Amino acid sequence: MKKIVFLMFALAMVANEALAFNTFAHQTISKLTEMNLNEKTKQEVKAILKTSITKECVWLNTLRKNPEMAHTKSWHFFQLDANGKSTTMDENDGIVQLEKAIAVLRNRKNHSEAEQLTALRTVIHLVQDMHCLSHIRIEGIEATKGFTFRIWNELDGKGRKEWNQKWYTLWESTFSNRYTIFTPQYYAEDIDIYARDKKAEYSKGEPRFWVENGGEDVVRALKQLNTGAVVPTQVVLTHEFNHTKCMAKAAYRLAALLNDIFK
Amino acid sequence: MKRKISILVLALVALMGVQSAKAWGGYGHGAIAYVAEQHLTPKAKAECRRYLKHTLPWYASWMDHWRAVPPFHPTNAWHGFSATADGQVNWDKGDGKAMGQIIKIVESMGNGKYKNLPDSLVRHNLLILVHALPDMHCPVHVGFSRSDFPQYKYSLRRNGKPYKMHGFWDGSPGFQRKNWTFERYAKTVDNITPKQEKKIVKKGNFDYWGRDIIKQAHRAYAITPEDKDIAKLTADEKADVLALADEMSMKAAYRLAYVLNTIFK
Repeated sequence: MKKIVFLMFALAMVANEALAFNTFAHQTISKLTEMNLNEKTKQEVKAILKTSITKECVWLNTLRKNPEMAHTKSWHFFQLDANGKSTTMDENDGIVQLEKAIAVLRNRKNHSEAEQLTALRTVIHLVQDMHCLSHIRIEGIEATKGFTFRIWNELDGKGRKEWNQKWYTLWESTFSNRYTIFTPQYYAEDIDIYARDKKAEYSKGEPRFWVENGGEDVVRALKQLNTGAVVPTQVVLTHEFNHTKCMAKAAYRLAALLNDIFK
Repeated sequence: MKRKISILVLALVALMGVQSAKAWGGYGHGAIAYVAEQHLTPKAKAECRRYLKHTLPWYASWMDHWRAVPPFHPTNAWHGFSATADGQVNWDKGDGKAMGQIIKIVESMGNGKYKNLPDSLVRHNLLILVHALPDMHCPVHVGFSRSDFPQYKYSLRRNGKPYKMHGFWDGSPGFQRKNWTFERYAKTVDNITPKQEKKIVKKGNFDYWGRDIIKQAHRAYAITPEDKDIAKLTADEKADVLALADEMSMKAAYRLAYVLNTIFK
């Protein structure tokens, strides 16, 4: 039975490999974002999207499945240089696409409704994606492109058990899947309880700073989780707090950005 | 997508060492904690959130997640308790196990004593309460000794193949309730009147709680006797499963709320 479950897990992981945060996490971040929008922003966002942020938050994931839009796959990743700085001007990088989309929204009077819609959907998704640590690439750190490590635990009297864990699935789905018994709204409220003391601090800065901030988290995490590492369960469990923090940052920052764009 | 998520959750449960066969499942724990939270006083709710930095459902399965971590192995005994032949808590086995730990925590934190404890200890005690108190209400978490109840050591079936009695009842709060949110669960199951609530909590009489849990636990073995095929239950049998699961879940929720309200009054 355990082998079947493991195989199902592995297959599911392969099928979802292309995604950043999974849909559930994106919806949760979106709910928390919506909780932090002011009234004017809510109206403007609704006028463009014609629906909620939560309903549109994975549009860019759907887009990439279209063979003609396969080139957008790289937009979900964010490159930092060897010093951990976001200096890239590569059009294939998520940060450049995000900045372009923000520019459209800031100058929306000179853009069509369709362009505004695409831009807003892009902003929503990419600000969220950039907070998924496995989507940050750091020059010179090969591990940021992905690796597998091993986790072990030891049930009392039953000996040690080890299994593989992929870096990207850890951040994309492993932690958030623990809470699929919650609704996105409830999960969002819970994350808010955890993080709201730091909301003002997290909301500061611009997108490139946010990616760099994420890069610092990546470097810290890689000190314990790295290629070939064999780590006890409790080490991995402690990284869940980082994951929760990343989701909170994504939401507060996206809300701050949208409130600023539509002020 | 939902099916993939279900598969992922199943696999995650297996791979992160969460032994759903050893506790109410993640859904059951979360749902019970959710209902309990609805019945907290404003002060108790605020204090729980202050110490935990999360809602009760968030940490409802924490003890299950950490039980496989070697320093936490002793907590394996705190997910239930053993019963004597005459229907009492067996205090000779592990100092009453879950019941013993809960009483110790209440004694150390009640009457404002929690304010004199380090925050980390209060938090740790809350993590135990939010899991162990509901866990001990799961019918199969009452340990009936082989010598007293040899007839209780058996397997069920599922489409003819052996299926663990323990695993079935652990998942019973979510039985036939696929994709139910906590809100829907609470709306459907939480129909306890104030009069019933008084009877359930009995002013925190742990002795009564223990005897009541043991008495109800016997029903599980009557509802699903040996070799019962759970994939072929009749409508009445399914209703019986849910009736017992809901009764014990609500007792767990209300008693958890009572304990927390008492500690933080």
